[in-house]
Amino acid sequence: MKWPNLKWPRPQWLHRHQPAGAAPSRVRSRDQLREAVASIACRPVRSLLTITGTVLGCAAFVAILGLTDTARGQITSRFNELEATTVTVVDANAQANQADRTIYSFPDDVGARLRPLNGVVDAGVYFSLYVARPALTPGQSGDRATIANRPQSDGLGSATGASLTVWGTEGGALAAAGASLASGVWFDDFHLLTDQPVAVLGPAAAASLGVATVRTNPTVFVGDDSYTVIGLLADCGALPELGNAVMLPAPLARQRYGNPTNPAHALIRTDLGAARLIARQAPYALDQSHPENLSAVPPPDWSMVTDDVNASLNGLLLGLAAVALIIGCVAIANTTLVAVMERAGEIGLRQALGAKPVHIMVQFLTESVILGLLGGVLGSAVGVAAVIVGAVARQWTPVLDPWLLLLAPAAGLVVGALAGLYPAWRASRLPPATALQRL
Amino acid sequence: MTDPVIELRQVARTYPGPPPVHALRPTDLTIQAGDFAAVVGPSGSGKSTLLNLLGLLDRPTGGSYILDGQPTERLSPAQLAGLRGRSVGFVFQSFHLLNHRTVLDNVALAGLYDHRPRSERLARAAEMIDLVGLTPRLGALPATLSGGERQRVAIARALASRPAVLLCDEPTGNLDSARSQEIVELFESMNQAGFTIVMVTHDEALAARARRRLDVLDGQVHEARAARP
Ligand SMILES: Nc1ncnc2c1ncn2[C@@H]1O[C@H](COP(=O)(O)OP(=O)(O)O)[C@@H](O)[C@H]1O
Ligand SMILES: [Mg+2]
Repeated sequence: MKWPNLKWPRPQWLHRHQPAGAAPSRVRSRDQLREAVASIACRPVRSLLTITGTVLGCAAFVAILGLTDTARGQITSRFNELEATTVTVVDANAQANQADRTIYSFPDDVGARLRPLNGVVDAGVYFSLYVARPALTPGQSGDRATIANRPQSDGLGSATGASLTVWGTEGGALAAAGASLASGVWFDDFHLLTDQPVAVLGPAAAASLGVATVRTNPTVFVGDDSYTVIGLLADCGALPELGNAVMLPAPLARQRYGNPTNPAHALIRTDLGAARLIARQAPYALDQSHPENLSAVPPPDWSMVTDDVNASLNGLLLGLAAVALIIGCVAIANTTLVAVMERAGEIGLRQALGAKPVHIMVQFLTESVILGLLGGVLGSAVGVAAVIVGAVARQWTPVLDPWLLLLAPAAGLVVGALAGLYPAWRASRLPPATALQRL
Repeated sequence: MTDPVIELRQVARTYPGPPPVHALRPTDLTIQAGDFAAVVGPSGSGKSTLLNLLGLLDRPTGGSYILDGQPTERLSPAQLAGLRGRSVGFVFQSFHLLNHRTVLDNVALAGLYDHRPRSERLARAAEMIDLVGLTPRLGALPATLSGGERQRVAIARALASRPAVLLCDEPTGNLDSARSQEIVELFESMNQAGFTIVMVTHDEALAARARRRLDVLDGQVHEARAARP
């Protein structure tokens, strides 16, 4: 048998006069990339199996962070945290019998009874009062008593505020409402239990009574009773009706001016997630024998994704995702290391064709980086799909930080680079003659 | 044909055992451009060691070696790789083709590490594949080729970098005698066109076809038959 081309043309390059020289070999980076991609593409199943760990790790990261964001988005849009931790207790008995002013169902130490409950941050009762002017003449009886910063007995009533109201409160109600003080303090158990004649003024009340600070020991007069002002509110928080209030210690106020005109309320601030439990416990804590007299209003039900339990669960899941990424890294490292041994012949051939050690190293490193990047991109896609499915199943709006979509592939890339470093270095150290002997 | 492509002066290779193996004892050897030399010897005599040294796949433990006019003693690994890629074409007993790449891609690997653009490499590869008569199999994978065809692909790849010398280590070791004859005929015709070829073999019949014969025994090389015209 004869060759089709037995008559060889004399090759032109045999006429060259200058020798090849000792310049180090060079490769175009685009070609190097192409070689790496070709190596991965020609083993698709193995490549896919290799990156499974990385895919799972990146998917877990994206899914966990994305679902947390999504849930948090729901909470802030529909349901703010303040609302979620507020429990209001109403005097139900008084509410049912509005005409009967003898009914008052709260104990005198509402705050002291509720605070020990696990999950209560602060609590206290508050109610408005009608203070009648003492009947000097029969006709005048029933008039509202004057509230002023000077005694009324001299008849020179001044700086009276017709719009001012009198409230009985406990300090805990103000704290629970998130009110803040401009000056002084609010009532503590000492003031409440020892019937101290003290008052706290709402911001509007303080302004109309001309009280700017508690340092000057100001006094307000409700009818003929004098009260030392110990606190001025800067802000009423969740109880804006206290803006023009002269607040007195609740037990003393009831003692002097009778039961509230409207049913009394107690305000309870709870820890996140504890509100519904506290709403069940509060009536019993306040009146063990007649809890039915008090009705507690819990916040609307919502499965809290951001409460402490879920936060730590989140940490655990992220930890698992990190473990998956490490496993993914080891998987890529292992496969690449095996490939280096398996492909010793190829390494030798490339060296025979002029590849210098760093070319071999870059080739294997590029392959593992591409594998890692591929794992990261695939993982992100799976994670995003999980977030969308999870959100749609609960009719939530999926929320995803766009940085996450960049971060996950970047994580995959880092995983691939770390995994490839050692195998690539090993590959570059193979002596060509030895590499070529292996198949 | 007066300029030597290969010049060995007292080149030796000892593998540091233990025990140390003197695979190649100090050797003087010159291969001229246009030579077709057969290196013959029993297994383990040092033929591959000699060829690896000639191809810069291995470094001698003694002596000096000038390849294609370039002294190699003081070259860095990167420089050796560059010179190797440009000046030497290799043909191996086991072909060393990349199984997942087509015939064309395999041959186009030549020049990859010489900064040649892909278009140029593909053009040269197609030209060389035509010279060995495999143009119809351009897009085939090596697994679908016969042994003789695979070796022709490897020869095309070795030629595609336009080397000064072709080094062949038992190129017919995996082929039956008919295919071996074909390969040697191919070498003969290439040599007639001016190629410089060094071929290791332990097949006397094939060695007889070469223009020059070197016998290797226990690491000693001696000229068994000088170049004939
Ligand atoms: N990497 C090596 N390390 C140690 N000894 C080696 C190595 N390679 C070859 N040898 C030894 O060197 C001698 C020559 O080997 P080689 O050149 O491969 O022989 P041939 O190719 O003629 O069969 C043998 O004795 C062999 O065992
Ligand atoms: Mg051998």
